[in-house]
Amino acid sequence: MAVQKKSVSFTLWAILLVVGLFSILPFVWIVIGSFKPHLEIQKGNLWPWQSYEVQKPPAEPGAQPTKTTERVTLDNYKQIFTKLSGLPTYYFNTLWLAGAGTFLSLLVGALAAYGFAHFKFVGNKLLFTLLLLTIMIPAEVTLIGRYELMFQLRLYDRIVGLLIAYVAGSLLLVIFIMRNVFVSIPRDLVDAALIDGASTWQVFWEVMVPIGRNGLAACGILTVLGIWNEFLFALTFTSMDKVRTLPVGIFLLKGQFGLFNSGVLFATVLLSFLPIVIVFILLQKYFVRGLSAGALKG
Amino acid sequence: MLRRVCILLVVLIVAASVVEYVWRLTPLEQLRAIFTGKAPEGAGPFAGGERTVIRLGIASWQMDEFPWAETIARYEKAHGGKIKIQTSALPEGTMNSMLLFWASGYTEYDVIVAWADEEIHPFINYNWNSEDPARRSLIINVDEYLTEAQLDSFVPALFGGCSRKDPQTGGVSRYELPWMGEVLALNYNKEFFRQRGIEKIPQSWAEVAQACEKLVGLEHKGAKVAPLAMNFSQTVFFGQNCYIPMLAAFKGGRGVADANGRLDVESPEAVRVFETLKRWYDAGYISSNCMVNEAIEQDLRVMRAAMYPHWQSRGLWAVRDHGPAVIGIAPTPGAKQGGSLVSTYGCIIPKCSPIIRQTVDFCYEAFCTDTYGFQTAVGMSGKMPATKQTYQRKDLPPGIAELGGSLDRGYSFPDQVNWNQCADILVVEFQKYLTGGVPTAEAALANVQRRFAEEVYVEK
Repeated sequence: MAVQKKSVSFTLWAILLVVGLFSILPFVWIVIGSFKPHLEIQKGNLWPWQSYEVQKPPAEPGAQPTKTTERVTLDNYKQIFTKLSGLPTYYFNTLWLAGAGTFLSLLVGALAAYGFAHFKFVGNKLLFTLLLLTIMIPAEVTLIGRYELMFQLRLYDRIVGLLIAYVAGSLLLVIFIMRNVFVSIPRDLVDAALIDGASTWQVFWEVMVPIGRNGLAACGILTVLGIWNEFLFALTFTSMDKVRTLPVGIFLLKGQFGLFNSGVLFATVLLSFLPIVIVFILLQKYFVRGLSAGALKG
Repeated sequence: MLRRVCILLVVLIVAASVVEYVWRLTPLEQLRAIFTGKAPEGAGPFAGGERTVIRLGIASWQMDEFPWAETIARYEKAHGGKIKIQTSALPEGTMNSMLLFWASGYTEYDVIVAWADEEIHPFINYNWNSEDPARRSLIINVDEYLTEAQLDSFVPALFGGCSRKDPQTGGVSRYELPWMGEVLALNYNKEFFRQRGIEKIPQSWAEVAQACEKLVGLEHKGAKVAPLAMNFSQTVFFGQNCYIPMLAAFKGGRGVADANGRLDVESPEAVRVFETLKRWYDAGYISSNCMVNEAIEQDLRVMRAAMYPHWQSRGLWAVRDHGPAVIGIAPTPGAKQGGSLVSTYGCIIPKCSPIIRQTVDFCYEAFCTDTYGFQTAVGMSGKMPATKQTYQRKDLPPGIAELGGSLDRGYSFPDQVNWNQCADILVVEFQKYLTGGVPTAEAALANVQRRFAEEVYVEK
């Protein structure tokens, strides 16, 4: 039996390894591609040990250009800042939106979820079901309506407009997950706190939030990821450089006739998702716990 | 503690949002203002004040190709700091959304560096039949702001894409200040030509076919080299680099438009173009990458194709990679008879800008002359300068001055307003013919005519 169990583990391990390799392949491709010039990527010479010739401009007009051999280059990273002059602005805007949007979503969403989980009021289930139904409507369907609304409310081309859209969009997920987290917290704990004289407000902050922190972390990561990568609203609701976000900024890297410089594109993509990877690595234990501790269970 | 932090953060976010909503200062600008103690400059136009702020929008791809920042800095310095230019990258692919703003009299840009051909015509079309010239079109007619001498300084062909006959006066109005052009050329690999003993650069499409015959089977560093790179995948590139130049040459200077000013897809020459391209494809003259846009665009640069009829800038990219001893640029086949296809890039100025006069003066001086070195920089970057004077320079990259000579006989796309849609239909029907989905060139072009009538030129 033991031998059989071991072989199953090995098979699983092998499958997971293959799946893992496939998952990591695009990431590796981007990392090594960011150190190669566009033409070498086009030729398929992606690996760092593959050398290529570089034409250096002639020292004086009319002179023959010189050639050198290189294996990797940092030119793509240097070019980012010349091609995308607004990169620091895009970074800050995205950071602000991800930070403020996630914080507001968690705060408002957790409070609403607490209400749905622990208060009995007329229409509780109906309201929650209606909220869930709205998840089924794709954001693209409501795009024109939202654009009109943004325009009428003078929120077009403003970061606050995007912030409102993102918070509203993320709330459903937070309410859904946190309601289930709060429901799974034993009622006795709440009752004990109430008997000790805690108000419902205190119960939320002293009991619910600390116990549900794994769920909050999971929601936080999902919300940050969603806002950080959001493209459609950011492209539709903004036109000025100073309110652009990173995904829209990367889209601007397109060259004449929509052609991309692959090397610069890879370098920018790497820089753009590096912060989010770091956040995920730091918080992944909460994320896994949050999802596995009943967060997504009904 | 946690509660206090949360309340503090809520107050902070709300305060920053209110400030942004009321004063249009982004959180980053607020932060900068707090640390520097200075309010951000130019939240709007300031005409007649101590300093004029001109808001300039540039297409993102152009940002790093030309020395905008250096030119603007020199211009500002030359004007004693009395004029400030605010530059920003234009929203990608949403030029038409500006119509909404400009039609309602609001603009975030005093000038846009745009593409002359199909992009600006929706702006010109606005109120086109109005009897009041002031209300006709959303952008200014530059003829009203430039002197005769200034207008004469431009290469004439570059006005082709932005000129329109005035419905009331009958005169021709010009709607942009050209600063750069692209001209179709035959970019080719001299080394491959030498290897196969081709001494004469093809000047007609028949000579291109002869060269292809000699170049078949060529290899470079173990990889197959195609005689000819042609883009059969990207909608606009097929129309402008394959169909139109060949049609122009076959028609021998009679133009590429039909009697209605639309792209000619009915003449016997049109049939001949389709048949020729298919014959070459079947004979193995055309690169196998012809259906992959990103790949075909690089074939000449990575030495996988010997000839590439495309914009001259593509040839110059390859010159930068391999040097002028390897890559050559020649006029497009048939240019002698049919002229060369030219695409113009220029500055368009919305009528709703409060500082039109200052903006025209700025654009002309900074970008349409060589006062600050911009026109020379255009030529050095491999594009075609807009002013006649720049072509007198001896240090322009190889091919530019020679190609510049053909700009007097330039032509632009027919019916630019519908060009994208027409090009789209054309390439799809050609691909069907190429892959055997449609048996003959006549049938394929009949499909194109039918679809033009049903989808583009619908009779109301």
